[in-house]
Amino acid sequence: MLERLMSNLVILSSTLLGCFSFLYPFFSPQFEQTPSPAGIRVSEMPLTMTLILGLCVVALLFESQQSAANARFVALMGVLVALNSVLRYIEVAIPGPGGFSPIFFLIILSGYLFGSKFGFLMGAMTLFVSAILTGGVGPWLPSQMFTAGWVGMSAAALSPLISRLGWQGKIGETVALAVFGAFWGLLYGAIMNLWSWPFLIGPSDQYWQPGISFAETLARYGVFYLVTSLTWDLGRSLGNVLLIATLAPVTLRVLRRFRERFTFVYLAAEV
Amino acid sequence: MPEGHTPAPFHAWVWLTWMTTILLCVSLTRNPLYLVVVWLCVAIVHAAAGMGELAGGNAPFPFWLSLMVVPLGAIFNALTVHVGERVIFVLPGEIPLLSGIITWEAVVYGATNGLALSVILLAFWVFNHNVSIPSFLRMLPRAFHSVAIVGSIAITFVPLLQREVRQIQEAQIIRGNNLTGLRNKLALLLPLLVSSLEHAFQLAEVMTARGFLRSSASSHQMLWRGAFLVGFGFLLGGWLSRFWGLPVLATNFLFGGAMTTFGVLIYTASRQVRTTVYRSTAFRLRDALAMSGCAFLLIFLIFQSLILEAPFLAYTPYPVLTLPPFDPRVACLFLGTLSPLLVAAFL
Repeated sequence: MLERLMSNLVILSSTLLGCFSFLYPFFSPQFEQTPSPAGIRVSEMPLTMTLILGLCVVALLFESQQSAANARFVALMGVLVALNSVLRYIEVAIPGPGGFSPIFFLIILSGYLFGSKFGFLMGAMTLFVSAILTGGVGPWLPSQMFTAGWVGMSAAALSPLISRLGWQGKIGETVALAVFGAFWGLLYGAIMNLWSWPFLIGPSDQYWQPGISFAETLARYGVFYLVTSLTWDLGRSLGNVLLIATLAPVTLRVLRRFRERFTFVYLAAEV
Repeated sequence: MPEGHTPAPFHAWVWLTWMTTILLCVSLTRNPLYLVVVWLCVAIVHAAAGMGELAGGNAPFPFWLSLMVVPLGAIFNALTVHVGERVIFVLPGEIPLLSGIITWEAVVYGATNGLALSVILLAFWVFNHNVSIPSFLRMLPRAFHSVAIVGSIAITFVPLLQREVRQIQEAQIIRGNNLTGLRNKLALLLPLLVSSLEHAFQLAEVMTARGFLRSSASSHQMLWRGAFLVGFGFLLGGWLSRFWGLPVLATNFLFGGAMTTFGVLIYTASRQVRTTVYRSTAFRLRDALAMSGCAFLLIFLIFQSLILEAPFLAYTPYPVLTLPPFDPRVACLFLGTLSPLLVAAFL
């Protein structure tokens, strides 16, 4: 009981701290962006953000892998990550329209079927492995891993809801997953924008400045998002809906069948 | 270096230190003169790696592609940021985002950001070129052995899955399904998913039969979780102190506390994991020498810029463009990033 509580506390703390480091411009009217005389803190911020997100990812990976206690989990995760990395590899070679990416389809379904820790690892590891394979390792990787991990982790919340409504295996399940995919298609872009938005300089109605209020920050970010990202993210969102609507029912059947098969237990033979 | 001699690869930690130093340089300064020096150092190492002077694998990342971001950054910034006092011209009309004054300050700021991005692109190419995937995975602390195994399995399976994609495609085309349209793609995805999961099942059986188990001691888990919470406390404290502009020493102490807590925790957790090393990679004197130049610069930058907040790297073209300061001694320090190349050439 205490162990579970502590585990949840670690997950909750790292998630909240990660959110906080992404959302700090909204809560920092007094924040000094360019103190005299050096103007150093502006350039330090991406470094600080990468440090905090990196440590949060470390904590979440450490905690999530505690559930990887057996070979079945490790093998299943490894192969699903490989499958998703191949999809990302294809996406890098032949980019889809806008921000369309096929990787979220399996991340969402994995989190939904196998639980929040599996979902987090699936999201984070997909980005990690595909970054290694495509030479995309960079300072942006912790935030990508973190956000993709959240997609998988939050998908687990749909499972009890759909069970309670009795939608398992029905069209309602696909619709719920498609809506979830559409929502995360937009939110993923909105979160990833926050990585660079506070450090950009531009028209005053779209960019962050130290000292502005919460409402003003929200309004400026809203305008920035509408102007620069909405169309791009709609591609990802619609792509998720399309993939889930057409492929999820069959894929879920296959994954459920294998989930049953993966519950095998080896018993030592008595000598 | 003698002709035909293939240099021995450096230890992965050398390249990690090198890349961390480059990233820190780029993060700390927007002085275009210092950035040019850093870019030149990275470009020399990049060129040497491309010519086979350093051991590595990937195809060279073209210079022109990395340099393209400099004019692109300048143009984009000049067209969208209408700030500054040295006006080049005024873009008339009511075009959203674009109309307004085009300034030299915005051009310089955009080009400087482009230069920083160019350094990052080249540095990551050099890193990816010189650090093999197994070396990269070996750098993961043993505390993350499950994650490393998942990564290893995934990387091993990718070529197999690519081959299966081709085989399924050929089989479907022979049956008359040319796989156009999303629904037809099911005929590709489903067999691929099923065969992948079959592979996973076989692998799980083999791993279980050979006794794969998590080897971390569960008795320590509560302690580790507690330590994580303490680390989060430090991290939150550091973040809030920066947020409210508390003295920099307090901020650095709290961030340092967080990093130390996480470091000790991972070190302790790693010691609980027993692993068998099949191919050990020794850290030789040559590696230490190659690392020393970067490490010296890294420590100097952390101490001077982050702890003492010395303003020697600071520069901004806004609000009025001025000539950036340039100290040859500081510029010479950046030459420390050439140490892997120098060691590869002479040792």
